[in-house]
Amino acid sequence: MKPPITDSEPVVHPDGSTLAIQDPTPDADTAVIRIGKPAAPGPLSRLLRSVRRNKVPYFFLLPTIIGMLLLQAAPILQGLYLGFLRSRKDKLLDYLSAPWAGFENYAEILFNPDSPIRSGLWDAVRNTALYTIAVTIGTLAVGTAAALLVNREFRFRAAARTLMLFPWIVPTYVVGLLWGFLWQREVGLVNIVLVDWLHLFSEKPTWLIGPNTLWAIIVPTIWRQWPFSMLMLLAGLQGIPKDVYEAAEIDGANAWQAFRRITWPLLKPVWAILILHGLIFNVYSFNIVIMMFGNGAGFPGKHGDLLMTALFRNSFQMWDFGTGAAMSSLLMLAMMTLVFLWYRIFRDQLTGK
Amino acid sequence: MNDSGSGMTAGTDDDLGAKARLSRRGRLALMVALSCLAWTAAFALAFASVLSLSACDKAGKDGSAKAADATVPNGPGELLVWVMPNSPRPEKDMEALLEPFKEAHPEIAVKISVLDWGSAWTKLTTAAISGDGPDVVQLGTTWCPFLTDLGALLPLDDLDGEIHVKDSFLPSTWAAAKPRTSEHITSVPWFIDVRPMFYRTDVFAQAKVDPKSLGTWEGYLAALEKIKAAGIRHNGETVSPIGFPGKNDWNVVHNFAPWIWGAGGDFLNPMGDKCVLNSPEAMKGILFYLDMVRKGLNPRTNMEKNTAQVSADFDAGRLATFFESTIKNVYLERPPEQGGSANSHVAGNYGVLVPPAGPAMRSVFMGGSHLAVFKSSKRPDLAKMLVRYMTADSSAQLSYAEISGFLPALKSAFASPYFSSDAKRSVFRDIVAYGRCYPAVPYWGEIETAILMKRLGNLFDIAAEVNGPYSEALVKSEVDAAVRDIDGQIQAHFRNHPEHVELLHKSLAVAN
Repeated sequence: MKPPITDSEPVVHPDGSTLAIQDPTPDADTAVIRIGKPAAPGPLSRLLRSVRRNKVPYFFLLPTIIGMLLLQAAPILQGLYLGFLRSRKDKLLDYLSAPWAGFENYAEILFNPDSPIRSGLWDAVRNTALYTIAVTIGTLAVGTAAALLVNREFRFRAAARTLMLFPWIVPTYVVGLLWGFLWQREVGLVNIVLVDWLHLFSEKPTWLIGPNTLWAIIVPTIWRQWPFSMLMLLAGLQGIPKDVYEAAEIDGANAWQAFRRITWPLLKPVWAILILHGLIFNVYSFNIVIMMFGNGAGFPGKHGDLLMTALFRNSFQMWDFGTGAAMSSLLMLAMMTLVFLWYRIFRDQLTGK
Repeated sequence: MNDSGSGMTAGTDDDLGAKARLSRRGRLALMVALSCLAWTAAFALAFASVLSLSACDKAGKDGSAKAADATVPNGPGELLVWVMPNSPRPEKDMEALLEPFKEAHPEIAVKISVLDWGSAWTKLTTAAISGDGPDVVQLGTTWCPFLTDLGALLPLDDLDGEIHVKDSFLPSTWAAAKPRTSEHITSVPWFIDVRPMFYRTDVFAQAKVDPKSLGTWEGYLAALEKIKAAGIRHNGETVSPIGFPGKNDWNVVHNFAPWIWGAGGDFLNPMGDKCVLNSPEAMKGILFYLDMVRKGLNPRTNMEKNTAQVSADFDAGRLATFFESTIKNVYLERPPEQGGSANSHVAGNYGVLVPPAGPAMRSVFMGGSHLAVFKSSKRPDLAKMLVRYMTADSSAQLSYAEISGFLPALKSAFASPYFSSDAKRSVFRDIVAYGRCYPAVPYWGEIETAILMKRLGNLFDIAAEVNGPYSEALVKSEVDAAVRDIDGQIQAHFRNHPEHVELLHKSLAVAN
C-alpha cells in the first residue's frame, strides 16, 4: 500500500531535522525507501508531528476526544458490530456476545423477499424520500418568505417575529397529537376549512388513512419547522450590508433583481446549512408519525410508514436487534453518501470561494 | 491551536514585554482552569460508564439473583410493587387495596410505583436484564411467557400448592400463569379484562329491536340492519348501528379475535408452531367483521379513529352498539365530579349484553393482568405473601374490581352480591365463561404487536377502500402475508430455541 505523499512537505525525522523531498518522483515507494525512515508524512505521522509540536493544545483537547470516543464512537462501533450478530430478544442478556451471524442480517434485509422485516420497507424508503424532499423544500420556501417579510421595517415587527416562532416551540409529539385531531374527516378543522368554507373538494377527503397520510405528516412537519428556517435566514439577511442594496438601487436594480443578484447568492451558505439540517432531521423523523397514528399503537400504513417507524417496529417490536442494527448501519451509509453529495454541491458556498 | 501553542513558549521568549507575557499567562491560566473542569467531567463520565458497564456485566453473567447484590438492598421487610394505572387514582386505590394486608402484616412496608403502559415494557425488560427490579410486578398476560422465558420470574409452584391456580381461577387465565414453554407456574392471575357489548336501550326501542334477538351473529347483523334502516337521529346526528376503530389503534388484534374464534378459526394451530389465520373458518370471521364496514353499519370514518374516539362517540350518542372493556361501565356509572358521565343521556339509556355467538362458538377476547415475583427480589417470601393476598383473597379481588372496573380473576369472588344484585354486572359474570386468551407462547408478543397489528390493520384500510376498490382476494392475500410473516417469525424463534419444540409438544400432550 502506498503511503500517500501529497506534496513536497518536509519530512520530519525523530531527531527533529527535516528533509524535503526534492522533485517527488511518480514512484512514491522508491522515495520512501530512499529516505529510509518510517516517518513518511502519512496522515497519522503528520498528526503525530502536529501533536509533538503542540502538546499543550492537544492536552486541552483530550477531554473532548475522550468524551467523543466514549459517547459517540463506542456506541456507533457497538451498533455496527451488533448488525453482524444474531441478537434477538432471547439473546438480550448476551448483548454483544450474541451468536455471530456474519452478513445474515444484511442478506435478510436486502435479498430475502419473504422476510417480514423486508415487507413494506420499500414503502418506508419511498415515503421517507418524498417526505424529506417535500418538507425540506416546503420549510425553506415558507421560511424564506417569512424571513423576507419580517426583515422589513413595520410596526410590531418584534412581536410578529416572536409569534412566528410559536410552532417551533411546540414539541413534535404534541404536533402529532394536535394534527391528529385537525385531520379528522368529519370534525377536523382541515376539512372544515377546505370543504365547508372554501369548497375546494366536492367530498371531504380522508387524511389519516390511505394515500393522503403522506400529506398528513408533511404539512404539520413544515408547520413545525419553518420558523427555524426563518430564524436562520433572518440572521443571514441581517448580515448582508445595507449599502450593497443601496448601491444596487442607485444602479437601477428593481426589487426582484436585488433579490436575485444580492440576497439569493449571499444567503446560499445559510440555505446549504438548512438543507443539510432538513435532510438529516427529516430522514430521522419519528415522533409525528408515531403520535398521529394511534399514539404509538397502530401501523402507520403503506403511505405513512417512515424509515424510523419501520426500524422501530422491526427492532423493538419484532425484538430483532441484529437486523435492526444492520438496517441502521445501511441507513447511516446512505446518509453519509447524502452528506458527501451535499458537500460536493455546496462546497464553494461553504468554503467561501 | 497554534496561537496557544506559542503561548506556552512565551516564557522563554525574551523579546516579549512583561505586559504581553502577563496577558498570555492569564489566558493560559484560564485555559488550565477550563481544562481542569473538562477533565473532571470527562473522568466522572468515564468512571460512571465503567461502573454501569461492570454492573451490567455482572447482572448478565451471574444471573439476576446474584446481581441484586450490586443494587441497593431493600430495607427490612420492604416490598417494591410495580403496577399500571388500572384505576382512576392508581396509587391511592392501590393503597386502599393493601390496607387490610398492611394491618395484618405491620412489619412489611409496601412501596407502590405506578408505571404507564407505554413505557412499562421497556422498564420491565430493563429490570429483568439488570436484576435491579421490583419485588412484585403486574404483567399483561401476553408478557408472562417472554419474561418467564428470559428467566426473570420466580417460580411460584409452592405458592400454587397453597392457592391452586387451576381450581381457584378462571380457566382462560391458566395459560399465562404457566406459559407453554415453562415447567413452572410463574405468575398468578390478578384481574381480567373482557369486552361486553354496550347498547342503547332507547335506540333499540325506537328501531323495535329486541335485545334478546342478538344471541347469534345472524341476529346481531339483522338488528344492525334494522337500526340502519330506521335512520334514528340523536342531537341532529345519525346514530350508527355499530362503531369500532380502524388501524390507528391499540386494539386492532383484540377487535378481530372474537370474530376469528367465533367462526371456528384461530391464530395458531393447537401445537402453537404454525399460523392458521388463513383457514376458511378464520377467513369467514375476518370477512364477517369487515363486512360491517362494507355494509356501512360501521361508518367508514370510524376507520381513522382510535378506541377512545369511538368510545367518545358512544358517550355522545352517535352509536347504537359497541364493544368495550367493562371499565366503560364504571365510567358511565361514576358521577361527573369523579370524572365519570353518570348524568348523561347515554348513561341513562344503555344496557350490556353477552356478545353474540358465532357459527362455531361464542367467544370473547380476554386480556388482563397477572402478578409475578421477580427473581431478584430479596424478600421472595414476603413478596409471595403479598401476591397471595392480592390474588387469592376474595375480598381483595372484589374491592379492586369495584375500584378499577375490571373483573376478578378469582372464581369465588363472582359469588358476591356485587355481581348478582346488578343486572349489568351479572352479564359481566356470565361473559367470563366465554373468555379466551392468546396462545401463551414466548413469541406471541412480536406476532401481535409487529405482525398482526400491521397486517390486520391493513385489512381495515382495504375495507375502507382508501387504496383502491375492495375485493376478498385482497383480504386473502393480506392474511396470507400475515401467515407467511408469522411462520417465518416462529421458525426464527425455534432456530434460537430448539428446545422449545419439545416443550410445546409436552404442554400440548398435557392439555389433551
